Amino acid sequence: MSHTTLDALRLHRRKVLLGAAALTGLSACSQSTTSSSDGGAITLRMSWWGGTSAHKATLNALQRFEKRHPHIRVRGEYTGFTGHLERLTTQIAGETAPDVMQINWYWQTLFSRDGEGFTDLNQYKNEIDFSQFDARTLSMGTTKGKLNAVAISNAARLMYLNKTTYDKAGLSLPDTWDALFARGPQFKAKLGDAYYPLDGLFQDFIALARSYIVQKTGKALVNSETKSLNCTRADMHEYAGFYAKMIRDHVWPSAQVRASYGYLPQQEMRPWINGEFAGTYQWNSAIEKYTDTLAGKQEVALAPYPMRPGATDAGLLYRPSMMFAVNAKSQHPRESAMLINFLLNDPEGVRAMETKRGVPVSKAAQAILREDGLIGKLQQDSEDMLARLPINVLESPYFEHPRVRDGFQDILESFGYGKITLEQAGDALYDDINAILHRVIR
Amino acid sequence: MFNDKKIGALYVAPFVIGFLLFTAFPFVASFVLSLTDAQLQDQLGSANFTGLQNYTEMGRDATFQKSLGVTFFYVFITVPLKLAFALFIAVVLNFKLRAIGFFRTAYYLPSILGGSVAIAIVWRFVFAGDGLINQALEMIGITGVNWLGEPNTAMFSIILLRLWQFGSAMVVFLAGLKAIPEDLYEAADLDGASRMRQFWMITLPLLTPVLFFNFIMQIVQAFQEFNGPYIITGGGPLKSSYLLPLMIYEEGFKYFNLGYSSALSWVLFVIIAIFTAIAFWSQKHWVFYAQESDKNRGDKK
Repeated sequence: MSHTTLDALRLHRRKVLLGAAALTGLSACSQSTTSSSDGGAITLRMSWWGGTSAHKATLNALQRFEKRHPHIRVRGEYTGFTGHLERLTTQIAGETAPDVMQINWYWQTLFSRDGEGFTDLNQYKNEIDFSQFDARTLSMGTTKGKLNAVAISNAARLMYLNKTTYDKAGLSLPDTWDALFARGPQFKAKLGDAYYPLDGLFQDFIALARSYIVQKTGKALVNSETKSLNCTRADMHEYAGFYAKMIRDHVWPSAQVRASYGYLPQQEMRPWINGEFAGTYQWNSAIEKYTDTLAGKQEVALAPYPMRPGATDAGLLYRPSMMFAVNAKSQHPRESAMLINFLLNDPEGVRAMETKRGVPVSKAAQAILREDGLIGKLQQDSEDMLARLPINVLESPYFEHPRVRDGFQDILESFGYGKITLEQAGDALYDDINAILHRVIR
Repeated sequence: MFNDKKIGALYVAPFVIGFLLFTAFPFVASFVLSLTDAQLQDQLGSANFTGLQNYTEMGRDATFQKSLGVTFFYVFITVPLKLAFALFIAVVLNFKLRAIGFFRTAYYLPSILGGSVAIAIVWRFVFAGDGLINQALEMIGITGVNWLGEPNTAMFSIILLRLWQFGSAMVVFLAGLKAIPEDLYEAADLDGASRMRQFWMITLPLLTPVLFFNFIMQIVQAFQEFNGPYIITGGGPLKSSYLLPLMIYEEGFKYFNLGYSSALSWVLFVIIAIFTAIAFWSQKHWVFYAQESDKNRGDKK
């Protein structure tokens, strides 16, 4: 090889290296690792989703934390819920996730199937006072012995009904399944076609019907171990029948009626706002989002939870609604743990956060907020009911997997539009959902 | 210090870097991903090479086949209708009327607003069961239609959203119309050709290059429609408006199947490429370039 070509090659290589350096420089900029420390001061990053009031409360709490610990700065990264998971997923994949993250319970199955996806908080018993949390709550943040996440609040779907509309119809809130079924024809007779005693998206209905079946079987609907439904074919036929009955008896708006409003959250639908759709099967932690949009003076009340005769379990989806987790690659896990304790257990942090993320699980926090009169009636009623109801069945997180949920929806929708018979719907619920579970549980 | 070459390179650098980073790299990466079982939430390194499995999977995926059918239906209806409508309005706006500038602006406005999220939300309210259209219908004594709640009409409302944005195609047509020499029409007038005949024999043939351009643009855009179904119907009911771009999004960001989602987007890319290629291939049969024929005539002399 002659000198000139060698030189040319060398030059070429230098150019390539320069280019590569520029690229890594770029990616280094975007990476900025998880946190930085300069001159002894530590900067933590914390991300969460929520509404405006939650943002304000959290930022306020972070300020108080910084005042308490002058050497720590906390940078908040907050968004609405839409797109939050996509964003966090990208950050975790790109190793640019924040130190402290607010996560949903089932996200643990996405990011930490082996318990290694987040920091094991058991190492920070001195920083976080775990005695404020009951064993069940802690176990729901634990994967393969690693404590990955601490619950902020617990949540369950309960039945919230528009008492104003029920009063208008001269009807009491139903306290059994049969009473609920009866409200359909009664609503239709007293208030007209536009009024329904209960409403929700498909995903809400799917959870309600699950509760109905679990009250019969006394077992979780999904078994993660066998990757299949934990019930018989006959049970799924009953599931389909439950939908058919609710629609036929005017208890729940049909697929056609619901779709006529377009793709819209329930609380933004006009019939919910003006009280025609007089109920929702909703997470207690989210109920304020629904009462907020009601027009004028309307009252929403918690209905007695319907139980099937002889049921030993209410069949509730009861689990942490939001949790805090620490990035497995955080440079400052100890400080992150301190921050979590401040937000969940410390009087100052608790008072700043109020009940913007639901009623806290932490016993200390609950005591403080109750003393301050910050827990609303609907929230207190829900807490009391959850303490009273038999809740022993723990549902597999895969029940809430988007693919599984959409599987249920496709079948119920097809039946609702008359594309398949009730018989076929029952079979499909058993066969198709089993097939989906087999695919998604890895 | 800097010679012209270097300065030139500097000027194009932002584009080149942006293109490489945000277009070329994702383009190549998505193809590589489409050959794996990559999941959005996993480290990319943990993905397995699965060859063409994602592509063969589509043959068994009923949702994909439904989505593909819906997408073709959408494109085959919207593109011709939109072109015809845009051309019609352009011809009307080419008349010498008073305040024509105002009308041209007015008809172009919807395209500025475009298929944006805000417009899609407005659309959802307009077509809702208790929306503007049904209220108007009821006022004149006609029972409202469940626009968004029935598979056929849900698709219709999404098609209409695109037809409504005919402005950009119209402006291109208008420019094309302006470029047709007046003397051709004068000569036709003298020969006693009717307006209709003039349109078919003069306007349309001379407009074919513009029509060709618009056709390609509309095909490419229609295949990529996302906002309408995503915001107005969520792809429903019964997946009747579940266009392929929405499916690609949901596979990737709702179900986290990055590999399958990438494969789907490559299928969409190939479909668009095929249609564009067919259009280019066919243009020698129907697209008429005036300069070319002038040249041919000149050659013969």
